[in-house]
Amino acid sequence: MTDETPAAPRLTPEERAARVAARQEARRAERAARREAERAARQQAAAEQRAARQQAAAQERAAAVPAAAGEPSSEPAIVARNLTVKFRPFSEKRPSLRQHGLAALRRHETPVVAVDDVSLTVFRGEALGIIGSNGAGKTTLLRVLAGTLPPDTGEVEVYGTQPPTMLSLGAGFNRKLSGRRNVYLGGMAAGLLKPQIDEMFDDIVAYSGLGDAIDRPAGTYSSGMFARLAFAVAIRRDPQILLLDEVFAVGDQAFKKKSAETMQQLLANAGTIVMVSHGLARLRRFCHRLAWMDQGRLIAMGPPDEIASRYLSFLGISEEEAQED
Amino acid sequence: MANASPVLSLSRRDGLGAYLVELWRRRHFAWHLAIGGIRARTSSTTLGLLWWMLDPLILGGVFLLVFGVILDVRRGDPAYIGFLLSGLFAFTYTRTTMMGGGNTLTANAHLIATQRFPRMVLPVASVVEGAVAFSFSLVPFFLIAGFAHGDWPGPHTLVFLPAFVFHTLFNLGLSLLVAQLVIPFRDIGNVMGHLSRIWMYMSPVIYPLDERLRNAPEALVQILQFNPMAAILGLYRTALLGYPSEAYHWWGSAAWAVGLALLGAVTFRRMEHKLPRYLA
Repeated sequence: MTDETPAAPRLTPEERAARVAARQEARRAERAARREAERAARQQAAAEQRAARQQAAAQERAAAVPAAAGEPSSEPAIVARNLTVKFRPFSEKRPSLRQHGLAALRRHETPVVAVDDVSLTVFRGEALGIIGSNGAGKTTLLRVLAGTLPPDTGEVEVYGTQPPTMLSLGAGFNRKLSGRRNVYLGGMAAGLLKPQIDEMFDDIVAYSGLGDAIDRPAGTYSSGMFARLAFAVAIRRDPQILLLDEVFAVGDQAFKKKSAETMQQLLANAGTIVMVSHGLARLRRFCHRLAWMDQGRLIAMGPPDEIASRYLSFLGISEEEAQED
Repeated sequence: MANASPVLSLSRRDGLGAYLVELWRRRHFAWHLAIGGIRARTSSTTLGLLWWMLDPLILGGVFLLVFGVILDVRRGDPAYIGFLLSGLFAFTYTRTTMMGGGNTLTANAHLIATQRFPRMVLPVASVVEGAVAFSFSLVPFFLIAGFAHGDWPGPHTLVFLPAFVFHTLFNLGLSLLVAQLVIPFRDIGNVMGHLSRIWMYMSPVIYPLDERLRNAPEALVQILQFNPMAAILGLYRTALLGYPSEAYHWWGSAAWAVGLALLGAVTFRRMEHKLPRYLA
């Protein structure tokens, strides 16, 4: 400490100024060099990302537009034969109390046939869309394929090692609990074990993009946040067969893009998707085949454009009007 | 190629063995559902989990005021406090779980419609929830009965474990049976509250029944002795209050527990595929 202080007064003011200038010059040059290097690195990274994105996009295009035959695979994933589901709903045709007392004793209403003798085969790597008016039996059919609603007659066979995963927003979720607990509840409801969820927990949170909100009660989430978390839980378990009921476009624009990419990846890995939606334009773009249901019956099944235009002409809606979904 | 992969047939039902294996595999799910239910019920209150002890404390206070002070059932006997609270808390466990099975199935209709799992997980979870609540109520029990009459835990408290196991099995069986009745015929749910209240007054919860029935016809006394809660409460009073143990309490509780749990489980498994139709 003491041996440096005597050296300082020996410098003239000019010398000191020159030294300071030299030091400043050196620092400036150093900073410029660092900036240059950073810019180069950024450019390279951007180029790599662009290349990766292009490659991914190419892969997606390849996945979205499958083999020349139009059929992704000839291996069946789900075979359903002669499915029929009848419901006997409580109907209130005679709402007056006096008549109601008697009616309650003989509650034999004519059954509603929700699914009427439907047979279909879904192939591996295929995205099948189910269209039809409200009450056509689409959701009921999906539940039968999921194995949660046993049909009155007919049978469903699933080829694979996993039963189909029905993506339903927030099944098993409790809105009073934190997002974290809901990930566990939802995952376990879907058949995962706790260590499996432990392992994929960080991925799920990252995918959903919820960040710190994961520890807030799910009741405080916006509907989009809730949907993103539910989708992340369902998709992270790598389902072989994914069944979607009106929920495959969830969240904001960015998340819609991300979820669509994930589903395309799933198809590319020989996964299978069956989806029910009223978003006809989206189904046409995404699906390899469409199935059209009306009043429980399977009317037609085939290439999306053909089925969609038949469906639209049946409804008496022009193509332009249909674009607006 | 297709034949190489295993086939899952979703329209056929699993055998009993496969069902039980799957149920066991889902035990963590049942536990998380129960813990989630416990947390959710008090998540919006300031005192939070403390309510699980305050609730039985207040309930016990109300019954002590009515039956111990106003009606003075046991003429100022300080031992009555322990008698009443042990019976009340144990019976509350049965009363809450009795309807719990049916309620949890209707509350989770969406889960049942979309996910495939043994439906018995849901009633089991609701019984576990009741069991945890009952365990919480032991703290206020010992605080009150201990200070009032010196009914602190001792060697006799070990009897609590078998009593708790028999009681829980009994409650599970009852909950599964009631759920099968309530889901297709919701009207029964409206009657259940009244039935459970009558059942409580017919059980040795508030007063020792044999004393009250000294002048009643012999046949009625015998019918009331058949009450499963008489045997189960007898075991609890041995465990919590050091009452002399009776053989009937042991075999009565065990027989009811095993019998009802088996009956409930077997019949529930047979009807559970119909659940989505009733809940839709």
